[in-house]
Amino acid sequence: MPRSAIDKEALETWVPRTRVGKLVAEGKITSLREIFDKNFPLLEPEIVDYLLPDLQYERLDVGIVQKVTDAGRRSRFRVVVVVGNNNGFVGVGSGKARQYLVALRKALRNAKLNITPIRRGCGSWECRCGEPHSIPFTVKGKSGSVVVVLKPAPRGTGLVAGDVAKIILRMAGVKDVWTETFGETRTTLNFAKAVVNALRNTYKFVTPLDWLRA
Amino acid sequence: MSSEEPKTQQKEKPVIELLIPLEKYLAAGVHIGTHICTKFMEPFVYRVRNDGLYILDVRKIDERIRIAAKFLSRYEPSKIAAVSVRRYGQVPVTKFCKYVGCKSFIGRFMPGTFTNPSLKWYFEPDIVVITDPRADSQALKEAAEIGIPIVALADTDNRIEFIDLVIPANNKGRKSLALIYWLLTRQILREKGVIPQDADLPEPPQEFEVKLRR
Repeated sequence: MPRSAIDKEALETWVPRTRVGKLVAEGKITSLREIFDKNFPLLEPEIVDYLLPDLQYERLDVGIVQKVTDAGRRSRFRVVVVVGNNNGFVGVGSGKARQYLVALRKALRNAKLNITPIRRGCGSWECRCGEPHSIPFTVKGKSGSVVVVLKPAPRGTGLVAGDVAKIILRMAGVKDVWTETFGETRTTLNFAKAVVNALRNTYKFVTPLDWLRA
Repeated sequence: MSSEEPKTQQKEKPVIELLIPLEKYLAAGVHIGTHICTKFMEPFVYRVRNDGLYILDVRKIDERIRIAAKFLSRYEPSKIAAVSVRRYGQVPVTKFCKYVGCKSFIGRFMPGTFTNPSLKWYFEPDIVVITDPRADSQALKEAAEIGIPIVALADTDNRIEFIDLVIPANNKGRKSLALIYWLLTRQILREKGVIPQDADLPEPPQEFEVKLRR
């Protein structure tokens, strides 16, 4: 069940510290796309809060990680979350802390800083509708040993993917896609990062449409 | 520049007027490179001495200082950051910043200075001047990350990745660094109209040198 990822308290007391943050607070930048188009550094999570009010998050994984010290073991929670607006933006982040809630907050902050735009389209020759319900071409993503291949699918296919990938693709706003995975996908964090990496690669590819723009 | 004149005349007196007499450049050792030359720096090399020492072209150094000064003078002084980890660059950089009004970073460059807004010493420059791309690699990396222009002094053995404007120079020598920064300061102030076009700084280049302890 997705929940709102907006940190209202932080947003109300937000004092921008970077140039981009100030531009956002003044209203000179009105969309997150602008920041990525102009290649500005995104260093404050509040910027994302401010520009994407409908941002949601879903928890992917909670684990207890331990560090062995001379006095025994010190355990911490490791939380992995995905944030997205169901319309072209996703990010995955992880946070570690003694308390679960603190770890969650850290993970959310991290996920917002790692947010990335994705390109949607319809690259399926079986569909050819041109609507942004799938991805425009096959993309590949990697993190650790996990390799994810996303393939455009015709309308009505749904998300043919593992549970973790399914959540991320849904948060990104992709409706139909086929996937193929290689490597140790039981490592949730790497699996999640690989999917996001694949989605990010949709903007690494230059299409004939981009020739026109340039 | 009048390069139409015959070569014999060129040998007798330099056709292009340098910022200061050629002898002063040579006395400071600005043109002395190293025994190694990277592919990037080859265009700036004048010749190779018999013992394998690469010699930089003084005219190109001169030209680049002019360009760099013109470039830097268009930025707001308080938004310029000058970095030097090297001991011999520290006094020149501080003096440079005193005259121009920019911010100096000498000694250890704290990681995150340009990229982590939650730090107390966070600074957001618009342009960075780097003394040695290898010694100041942290500053170089962070400046590249936030996407600001980078001006750097580079010797023959430096790589010039991420650098936008290379000033070829001997960045190891005490006198050489002092002279380069002195010239840069003077030229910036001249470009801005703080001092007249033919005026000098109140201090000679020797004042920019690091004093040796006896």
